[in-house]
Order: sequence, then structure tokens, then C-alpha cells
Amino acid sequence: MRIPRPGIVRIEEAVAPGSVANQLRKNLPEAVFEVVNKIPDGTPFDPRLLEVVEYRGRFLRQCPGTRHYLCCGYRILHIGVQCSLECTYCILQAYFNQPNLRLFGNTDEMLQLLADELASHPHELHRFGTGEFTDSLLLDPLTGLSCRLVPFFAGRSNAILELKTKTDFIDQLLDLPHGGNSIVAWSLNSPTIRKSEESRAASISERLRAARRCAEAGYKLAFHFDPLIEHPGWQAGYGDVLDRLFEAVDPGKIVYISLGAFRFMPELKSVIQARHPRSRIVYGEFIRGLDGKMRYFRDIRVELFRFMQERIHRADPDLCVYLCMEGEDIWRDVFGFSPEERGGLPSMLDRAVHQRMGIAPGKP
Amino acid sequence: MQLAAAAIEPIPLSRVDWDDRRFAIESFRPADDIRASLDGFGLLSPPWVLPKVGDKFAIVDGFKRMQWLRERGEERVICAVFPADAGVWKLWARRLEARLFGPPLNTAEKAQVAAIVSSGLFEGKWLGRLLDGFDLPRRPELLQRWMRLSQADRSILEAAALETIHERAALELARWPESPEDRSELLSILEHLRCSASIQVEIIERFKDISMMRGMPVGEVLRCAEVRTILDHPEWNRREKTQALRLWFDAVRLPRLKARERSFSEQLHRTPPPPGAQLTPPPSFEGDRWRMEVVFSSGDDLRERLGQLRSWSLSSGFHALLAPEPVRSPRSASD
Repeated sequence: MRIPRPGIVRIEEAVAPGSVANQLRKNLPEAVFEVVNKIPDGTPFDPRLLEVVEYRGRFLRQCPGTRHYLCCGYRILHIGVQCSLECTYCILQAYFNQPNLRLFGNTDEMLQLLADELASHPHELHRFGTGEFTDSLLLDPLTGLSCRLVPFFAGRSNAILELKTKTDFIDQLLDLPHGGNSIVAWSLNSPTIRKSEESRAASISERLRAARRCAEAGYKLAFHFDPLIEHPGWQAGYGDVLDRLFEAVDPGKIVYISLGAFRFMPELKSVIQARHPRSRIVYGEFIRGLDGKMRYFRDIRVELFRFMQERIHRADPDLCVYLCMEGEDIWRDVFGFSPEERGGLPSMLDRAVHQRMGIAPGKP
Repeated sequence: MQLAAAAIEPIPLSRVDWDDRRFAIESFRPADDIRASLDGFGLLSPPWVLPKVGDKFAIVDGFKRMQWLRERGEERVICAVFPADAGVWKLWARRLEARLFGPPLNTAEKAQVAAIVSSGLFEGKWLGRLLDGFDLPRRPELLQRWMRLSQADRSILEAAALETIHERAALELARWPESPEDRSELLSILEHLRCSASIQVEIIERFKDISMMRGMPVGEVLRCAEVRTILDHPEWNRREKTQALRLWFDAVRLPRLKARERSFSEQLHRTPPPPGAQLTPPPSFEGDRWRMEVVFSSGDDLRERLGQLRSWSLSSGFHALLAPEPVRSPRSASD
């Protein structure tokens, strides 16, 4: 896959000497570089623009779960905001205040905070990921950020890193000393949805080819079928992708697979209608969920999840499959148990990491 | 911002260029009130005009008053005549400043003002002052919706000005449906039902949802037999028609939820709770917070009813109510 390269890189002077800015200068010789004192929020959208700022917020965050639905306990390593893949369903479209691609240039500070956090809780397993507010690997060939992050996590007994992407930009990862602590994860969807709603992202074949190469380089893998979208022929479409997934990679290399049905803040509907008038994803059987988001009526979600988990477990009965942001009633309908009966969802994922990656913090 | 003072002087109406409406803010509603005032008191303040080449005058402010004078066959009118080089920006600024302190704009007028203030004439603090003063949004994409409304069909602007459709509904109608015939049809439905702003917006949105879900032109949905039957019902009033239309929307949009509600209702009918107890599922069956209401008259009565409820809660019928097999997608079989 190819993406348009940023033509203008605007850097705040506080992070101009940093590694991210230096890598961008090296890898984008054709771009115009501007160093400014401060990049304000609300800068009008410019698809050619990449902003590099000194981030003053929280680099380490909890996944924004709600009390109504069960959260996986994933933690966010906040490296930047926005994405140029422009998937129709993406929540980032509603971030009107920061519409441009934005990276945080004070990486040293972020890594120091991370080191302090891991050291202060040595007996907990920390599952960190960078793919919540941006695509983990979209700009990685230009920034080389993973070349610092992956070795940082290597060999640690209490932390793993998950790099989540819809790209196939993995060349820079292959020779890194990952120490078995990094998971490379792909968001997958049916070919129909990939074509209509994720048209700028890598094709399913490209993603699976990249996954196989990462597995060959010793990385563990994860896959996220999120958002699952009900569309004509969805069983055939998702079934096909699962077949191709298990042909491409050994299920034993997969640490977990998550399933999440399409959900959205009500305000996102008009944004999607305006930006993607041909998209039909917001016209399903949606009800208002307990968290205020629009969700498919529960029976539709159960049907989607049951189909997926049955097909996945046909390939590997021991593979950890979990639901993203669902209630206990849905868990019971899909799996026959609720995570609370097994110590909670975060513990289930910790066990999957232990079993498939051999990583578990020592007892206090 | 200073503008050279206007000269107060009489001008012949024959020299007014009636086709020059560049400064017009059309109200899109009958001018009965102002005409009654003019009939009673005449002109209370002079209209504003701008000299043009060719010995003509463009009206800047006072279109209705000038028209009233014209219809009465007046020959001259005392006007505030601005210098010919006054400049469009300064005249608009003055005109809008006067409107800021005048009676509130109707929705159609507000849309025209949105188009004027965002046309590039105003910038910076002036733009912000006018947007805030006229209660217009500052976000470009929201302001764009107002500008689009200013260019909408005359029928929509008239309905908005007369408040037969509400502001939010007018903004929606200005951008959808695409065909003028469909917009007109949808507008006539809203005018017929005369419901609240939120329900008007809901109706527009639901027609769009159904059109997109069914993959059919919205015109076909608007004119389909079910909708016509509701709207043409001889005995229902507009509230009953609105309610029936909303139920139809739900039935079309949420068939599996509705099927679940029906099956729950049937199951409850087969396995009713003890007298005085009422079971309510979570809204849309989302989550696991069910509600049971028990009516009782005394402690003994409550204990007896709770005993009956306990027996009922152990029955297979009760379990079937709480955890039925999920309704399957109608598409499943063919996939």
C-alpha cells in the first residue's frame, strides 16, 4: 500500500532537536519543514500537513472503557493523534479540534514516564498499545518510533507492547530485537467492508502477508475484528477472512483475537453522512446503548460474535477470543460464561499473554 | 468604522432601481404588520438608498416601505442618501448593525445573514461579533449549513420564516433530499403533521435511514402505501398520525427488536407474573437490568405476593422470558 507523504512538517521548537523530528527530516527530504513556537489546537485541516508537538498531557492512559461494559484493561501509550486512512467509521473524524496528523516529539519524556511506571508496579502485567488515537505504524517508516519502542519493551517480565495497524508498514520491525515482548496486531474486516469503508488501508491480503512476515520474524500476533459490521453476505465475508487468516499464519502465533460490533457516538452519524455520503454503515438496526453510543440491537451482536467465535475456535479451540466493550449478558450468550467467572477480562488476557508469550511478572 | 453621514433628502421613486436587491434580506412572510403600521403612521424613519450610475438609486434598507409607497402611487420619498462611494462593506456593516438591535430575525432571514457575513466581506472580530450577535455558529461546517439554507427552495424558506417548520428541520431539509420534488413532498408532510422541532428532525432522519436501508430513492419511501395510509387516514388527528408514522419507522428500522418485543409480550402472556406484579425488560433489551414492580396493600399482602413471585421466578417460563434464543438475522439463511 502507499499513502501520500506529508508535504509540510510543522514542528514546535521545543521538540525540533528530538529523534522524531530528526528522523522525519532524514526520511522526508522533499517536505517543507517549519519550526514554530507553538502549534495551536484548531489549526484548519490540511491533508499535506504533519504536526510534531511537545505533548503536555498524559502519555499513559487507561483504555476509555465505561462502567456499563467490560473493558480489556489495555493501556494506551499516547504517541499522536489522527490518521490519514480515513476509514468511514473512525471516531477520529469527530476530533474537530485536532484535525491534522499530529505526533508527539518529546519521546524521551514518554519513555522515561513509561520506565517509571513499569518500575513502580513490577508485579503487574502492563499491556500497552499505541493504536488508540492513531494507527501504530502509519508513520512509523518515517519516524522510526517503533525502533525505540520495541527494544524498550524487549526482555521485560512485566510489560508487552501492541502495535495495531491497518497498514503493511512492517519492514522496519523485522530486524529489531523485540525479545518476544511485542505483538503486531491488525484490524481486519470483511473484503466488502475493507473495500467500501477502509479503502485507503492495506488490502486484506497485504495485511495478512505482513502478519506472516512478522510471525516469521518471531513476533506474536493479534487481530481485531472491530468494527464488525452487519452487511449483506457478512457471514461469507468474515468467514473468508478467517479462512485466509488461518492459512496465512499459524494460530499458535496469535495471542488473542478481539471482536467488537460497530458502535458510534450519535454525533458521529452526521459526520459520516457528510464526509462519506455513500457509506451505509450508520443505517443498521441501532439502539442507544447504556453508554449512550449507538449499537446494534443485542441479538444482532450476539449473532455476529457467535459466528466469529465458532469459526475461530474451529481453527484453535484454545485461542483467546474476547469481546470489546460488551456486557456480561452478551458474553454469556456468546461464550456461555462471563469474564467475572474467570477472574475478569483483564486477567483472561494476562493469562493469554502468559500462555502464548511466556510473559508474566514474578510474584511479589 | 466610520461611514460618511447620509444626506436626508427627497428622491423621486421613479429613480429607484427596483431590480437591484443586492442589499435585500427577504423576510419570506407576509408584510401585514409593517403595512398596518405604515397605514397608521406612515414612514417613521427614512429608507436608506445608494446613488448608482445612470441617475438611479439602489435601496439599502427599507424595501417594504418603498414598495408600500410605490403601491400608493407616491412620487417622492425622504431618504437617507449615502455617498456613492460609501462602499458595500460599510453599508452592509451598518445595515447588519441596525438589525442586531432590531426585532429578532426569522430563520430565513438568519440564513441570508449567514450567507452575507460569511461571504468574505467580514473578517476577524467583525465576523465573530456578527456571528455571535445573530446566534450563528462559528464552526465553518455548521455555518455552511446556514449558507446552504439561504439557497434553499422558496417553499422551505417560507415555511421556516412562518415557523411551520422549525429551524433545525429547515437546516436538514436544505441539504436533503436532493430532488426538489422529494424535498417538497417531505416539507408537505412536516407541514401537515405540525410536530415539535425534535420530531420534525427525527422524521427527516428516519425517512433518510429507511431510504438508505432499503437502497431505494427517498421519493418512493415518501409516497409508499404505508406512509400514504397513515397520512391520509380520515379519522386520525395530526398527533395520532405522527405517532403512527413513528411506529412505522421503528417497525421498518428495527425489525428484530420489534420481533423480540412481540415474542416477549407473547411469552409474558403465556407465563404471566402473579397478580399485582409487572415485569419490564431493559430498554431495547440492552444490558441485564430488569425491573419488577409489585403492588401491595399490607405487609401480609406483600409477603404473599413475594411468595408467589418466588415460585414464578423458578419456573421455566420465567427463564425463557429473561434469556430467549436471540432473534436471528433474516439474511442468515441465504448467506
